[in-house]
Amino acid sequence: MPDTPPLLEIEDLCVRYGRRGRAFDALRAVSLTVGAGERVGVVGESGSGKSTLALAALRALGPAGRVTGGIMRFRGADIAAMPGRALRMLRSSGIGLVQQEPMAALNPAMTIGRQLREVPGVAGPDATAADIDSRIQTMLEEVRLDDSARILAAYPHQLSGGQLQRVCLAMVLLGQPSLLILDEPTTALDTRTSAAIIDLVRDMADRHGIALLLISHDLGLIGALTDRVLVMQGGAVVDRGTAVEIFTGGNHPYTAGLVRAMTPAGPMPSGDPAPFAAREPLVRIAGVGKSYPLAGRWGGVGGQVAALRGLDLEIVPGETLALVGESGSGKSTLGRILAGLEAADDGTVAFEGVEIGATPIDRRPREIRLEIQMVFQDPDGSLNPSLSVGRQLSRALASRGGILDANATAALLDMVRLPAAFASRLPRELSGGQKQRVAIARAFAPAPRIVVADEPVSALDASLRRDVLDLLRRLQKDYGTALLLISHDLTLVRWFADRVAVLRDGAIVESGPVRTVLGSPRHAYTRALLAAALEGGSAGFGRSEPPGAP
Amino acid sequence: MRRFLQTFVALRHRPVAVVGLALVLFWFAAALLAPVLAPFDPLTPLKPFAKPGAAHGDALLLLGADTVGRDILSRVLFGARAVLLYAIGATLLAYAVGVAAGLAAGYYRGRVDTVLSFGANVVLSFPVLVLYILILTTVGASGLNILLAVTVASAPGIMRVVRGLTLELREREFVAAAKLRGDGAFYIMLVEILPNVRGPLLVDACLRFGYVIITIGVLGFLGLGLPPPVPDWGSMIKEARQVALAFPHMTLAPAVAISSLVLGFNLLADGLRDLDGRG
Amino acid sequence: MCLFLLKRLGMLALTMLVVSVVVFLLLELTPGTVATKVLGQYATVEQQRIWLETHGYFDPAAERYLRWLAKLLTGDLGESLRYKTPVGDVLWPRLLNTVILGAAVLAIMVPLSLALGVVAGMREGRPSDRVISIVSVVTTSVPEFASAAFLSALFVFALGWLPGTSAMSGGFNWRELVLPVAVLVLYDFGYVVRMTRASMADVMTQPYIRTALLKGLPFRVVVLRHALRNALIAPFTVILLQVNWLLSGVIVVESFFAYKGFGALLLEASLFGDIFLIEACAMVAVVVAVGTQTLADIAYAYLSPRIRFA
Repeated sequence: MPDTPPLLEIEDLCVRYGRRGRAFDALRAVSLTVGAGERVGVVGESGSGKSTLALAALRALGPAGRVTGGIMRFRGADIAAMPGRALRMLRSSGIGLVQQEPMAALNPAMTIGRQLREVPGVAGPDATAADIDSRIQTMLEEVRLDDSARILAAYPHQLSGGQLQRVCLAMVLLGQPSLLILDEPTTALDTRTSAAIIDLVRDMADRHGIALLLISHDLGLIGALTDRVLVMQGGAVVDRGTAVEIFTGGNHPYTAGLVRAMTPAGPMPSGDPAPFAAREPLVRIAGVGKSYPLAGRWGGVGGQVAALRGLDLEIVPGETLALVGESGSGKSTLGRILAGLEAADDGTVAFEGVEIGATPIDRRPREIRLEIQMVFQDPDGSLNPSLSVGRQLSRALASRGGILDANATAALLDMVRLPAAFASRLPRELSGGQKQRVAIARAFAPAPRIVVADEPVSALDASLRRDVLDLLRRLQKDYGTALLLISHDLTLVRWFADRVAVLRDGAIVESGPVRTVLGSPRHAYTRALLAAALEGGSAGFGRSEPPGAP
Repeated sequence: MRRFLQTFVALRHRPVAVVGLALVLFWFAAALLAPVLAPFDPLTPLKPFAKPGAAHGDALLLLGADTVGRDILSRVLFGARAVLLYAIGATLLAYAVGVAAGLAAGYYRGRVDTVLSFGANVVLSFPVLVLYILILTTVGASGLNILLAVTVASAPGIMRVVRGLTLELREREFVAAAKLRGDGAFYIMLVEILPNVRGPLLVDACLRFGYVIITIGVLGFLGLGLPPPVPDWGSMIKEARQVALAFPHMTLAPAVAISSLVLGFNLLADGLRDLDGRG
Repeated sequence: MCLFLLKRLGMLALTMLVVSVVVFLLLELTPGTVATKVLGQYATVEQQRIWLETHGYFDPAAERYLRWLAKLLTGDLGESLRYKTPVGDVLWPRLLNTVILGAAVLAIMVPLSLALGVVAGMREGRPSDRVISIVSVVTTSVPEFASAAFLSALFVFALGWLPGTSAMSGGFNWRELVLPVAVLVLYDFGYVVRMTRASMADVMTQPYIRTALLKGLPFRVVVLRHALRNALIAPFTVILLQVNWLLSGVIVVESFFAYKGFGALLLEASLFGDIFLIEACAMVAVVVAVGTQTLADIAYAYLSPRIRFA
C-alpha cells in the first residue's frame, strides 16, 4: 500500500444538533478511515447518527447542526478549515453523496438534463456544450438508463424511483469522485429495483476504482457490498471489524443482537396446509377487479389504471395466507377491499356467505365489520395521537358490548407484553415497536375471525421485527383468527405463512403452500422475486445464511 | 383542560410569546377591573380638550380628555371591556359555526362539501370590509348585528382551515380503525378528528381574535360600530380625527391600546405555532 | 389545460351570479326602504306606491332580479341618489384614484416584502431573521387607522413635513399620497414577508437544495437558480390576493385622509343610503376580488410543476 494519506479520515468527531436546552449529541467521538478503493459499511438503526456522519464530512449539516469536536481530513487536508473554493472542489470531485430519497433529492421544477449539465467540471474547463452532453450521454448509458433523450427532457416526478436513483448516481459520478458515500440507497425502492441498483453500484465501483462508504440499517445489504464494517448505536461506534467478523457476532452485544434479528429462530412452520384444507372457506374472492382514475394534466382525469384484475382467492379459518408482490401489484388494495375501506368494481367477495365486495365499510352490518380487522403499516398513523392508549383499546374492547374496565385493558396490554401503566400514555410517548403492539392489540380486541396485516413490520427497525411478528403469530393462534399477511418481503413470508399467493400487476401468478411456491417456484416472476430477495441482501429480514460464509 | 394549561406553561421558554401573553393578560385584567381602576366615569364630560396631566378636582386626567371632555384613560379602560366582550362572543360563535361546517365538509365530502365550500367561497369573494358595510347598512348597526356580521365574515375562513385538516385526518389509519370497529360518523368527527385539530386551531384562534379586534375597531372608526356613547377605541379615534392634528393625545391613546392588544395575540399565536410544530 | 381553465372560469361566473343575488337581496328586496331612500322621508305613502309601481317593484322578486341583472350587465348602473348623476360618472373616476393609490402601494410593497422575506428565509434562526420577523409581527398588529394616527402625529403634527389630508384639492400632489401609501404598505408588508419567509425557509431545508450544494455549486447560485424558483410560487399567489385585501384597506385610509377614492365612495354611499351606488360599488369590488382570486388559482397551477405536468 503506497504511503499516501487515506481518502477520508475522521477522528473523534462530535456533532451536536439544536440549541439552548434542546440540544442533543448526534455523534460522540466517532472515528473512521476509508482508504483508496476500499469498501466500508456503516450499519445502525435510525437515530444511530450514521447519516449525520456523511453530512458532517461534507460540511452539509444545515443550520441546526455543528461540529463540536474532532477532526476530519480528506487526503490529509482538514475539511473544516477548507476555504469556499476548496470545499466546493471537495463536494464536486472529491466525495460524492447519494442521498436516501431520490425523488426528494432532485429539483421538481427543473428538467433532469439541466440538473445534470450544471454539475461543475463535467468535462473539463474548456469543454463545449457538445462535450458536456456527450459525457452525460456516456454516463447515462453506464448507469443503464436507456432512452436518454426522454430522460434528459423529463421532470423528476415523471420518472420512477429506480430511474431517479440511477440519475442521482450518474450526477454524482460525473464529477469523478474518489469516494462515493451512499446513504440508504435502496430503502425507498422495491426489491427487484434494489437488487439492480446494488449490482450497478458494485459494477461502477469496480470499473472506476472508487472507494465506497455504504450507510444502511440493512445488515444484509452491507454484507453484500462491503469488506469492513462499523456498527453504530446512539451516536457512537460500538463495534468494528471485517464483514466476516461482524457477521459471526462481532465483539459487542449490540452487534450480536443485530445479527440474531436477521435470522429468525424456532422451527420453520411446516407450510403444510393440510390441517386447513378440510375447512369451509371463510372468505371467497372471485373475479375481483378495481380501477383507479389517473390524474391527468391540470388536475383533470386522464385514463384508468387497473389495480386488480379478475382475482380469485379463498381464505380458510385459522390459516395464515400471505399476499406478496412489489409495490403497485395491488396487494394492499385487495386487503383494503376485504376490510371495506375500498369497494370492488367487479367480482364478489363473500364473507361467510355474505356478499361484501362492493359494500363500503359504512354500510356493512356491524357484526361483519367487527369480524374483519386490520393492522396497518405505519405505527404513527395507526393510533390517534390525541387519545390515550387505554382509551383507544377500551373502545375496541367495548365494540363487542364488553365492559369498559381497566382490568380488561390491562389484560390486553399484557397479552402484547406491554406494562399496564401504558394505558394512560399518549402514543407519542411510545416507540414505533410499542405502538405497533398496541395496534395489534386493538385489532385482536374484538376477537375477529380474520385480521388483515398490511406490511405490519416494514416500518419498524430490523431488530424489532421478529418480536412483533412472533407476537402476531401467537395472538393469531390464541384467538384462532385467520391472518391475511400482505408483504413484499419473501423471507418474512417464508417463515410465517402457511400459504402464499404471488401478485403481479393486479393478478395472481402463482399460489399454493409456502414450501412449494417458495421452494420450487413454477412461474418466472416468482423466481425473479426470490432471486432478487437473496441478491440485494433482502429488505431487512435477512438471508438464510450470513454472507461471507462459504 | 390539563393539557390546555400545559400548553401555555410550555410557552415560558419563548420570551416573545411570554411578552404576548403578558399583553393579553394585562388587557383582560384592565377590562375586568375597569370599574375599579378608572378614575372617572367614561361617559361624563369634564374638561373638553384637556391636555394629559390636567387636573380635575383632586384627580388628574392622566391621558387628557376628548372633544366632549370625557376622561380618555377611563374611556380606554372601559373600551377594553367592550372590545373584548364582543370579540370573544363573536369569535366563539364563528368557531362554533365554522368548526361544525368544516368537519362536515371534510368528513362527508361529496355534495355536502361542494355546497358548503361554494357557500364559503361566495362569502369570501367579498372584500371583508365591503361585506361588513353591506350587512351593517342593511340591518343597521347594533351590538347583536356586529356579532352576526363578524360570525358571517369569519366562519368561512375557519371552515376552510378545519376542512383542510379534516380532509387530511380522515385518511389516517386510526380513522379507518374506528370505522372497522363500527363507530359512526358523529363519533369519528367529534372524538377521533376534533381533538387533533386543536393545535392549529388554537393558533388560528389567537390570530383571529386579533383580527376581530381590529375589525371592531375599524367599524367603530368608520361609524358602523357600537352605537355611542359606548366607549369604543375605533370611534374614539373617529371622533378625535378632526382635531387630531392639534390634539394628538386623543388619538394616540386608543391607537396604542388596540395595537398592543392585537400585538399580544399575534405574539402568542407565534409562540403557540412554534410549539405546535414541535409537538 | 383548457378543461382546467374552463372549469375555473365557470366557477368564477357561478360565484359572481350568486354574489349578485346576495347583493340584490340585501339591498333591493324591501321596496318600502328603497322608496323612502329615493323619494325622501316626506313622501306620502301614495307617492311611494306610485313610484314603486312605475319602477316595477311590485313584480315578483325573480323578475326584478333578472331585470336588475340585465341592466347591470349592459352598464346601466342607475342614478346616484346623492349626486343626482348617473352612477358611472361618480364611480369610475374615484375607482381610478384608488387604482393609482393601489399601484403605488404594490410598487413599493412587493419588492420590499419579497426581498425581506427571502433574506429572512435564507438566514433562518439568525439575528437578521429574528429582527425581520419581529418587525413583521409588530406592523401587522397596528391597524390602519391606528398607524394613520401615529404617522400623522409624527409627520404632520410634530415634524410638519407632510400635509394632513389628501384631498388633492389643488391638483395632483405626490406629497399627499405619501401618508396613505405608507399606512397601507406598513400594515400589509408584514404578512407577505412572513409568507415568503416561510416558503423560503421550507425550500432551503429540502433535500434537493442540499443536492445542489453538494454538487459543488456556490451558495449564491443555488439560491438564485434552485431555491427562488420554488420558493416564490406561494408568495406570488399571495401577492395577487393582496388586491382583495387592498380593496378593504383603502376604505379606512381614504376615509382617514379624505382621499377621493373608491373606498371612501362606498362608505359615504352606505352611510347616506345611496342604494344604487352601493350596489354598483359592491359589484365592482367583488368582480375585482373574484377575478384576482381566479387569476391566483390559475397562476399557482401553472407555476407548480406537479400540477402542470402530472
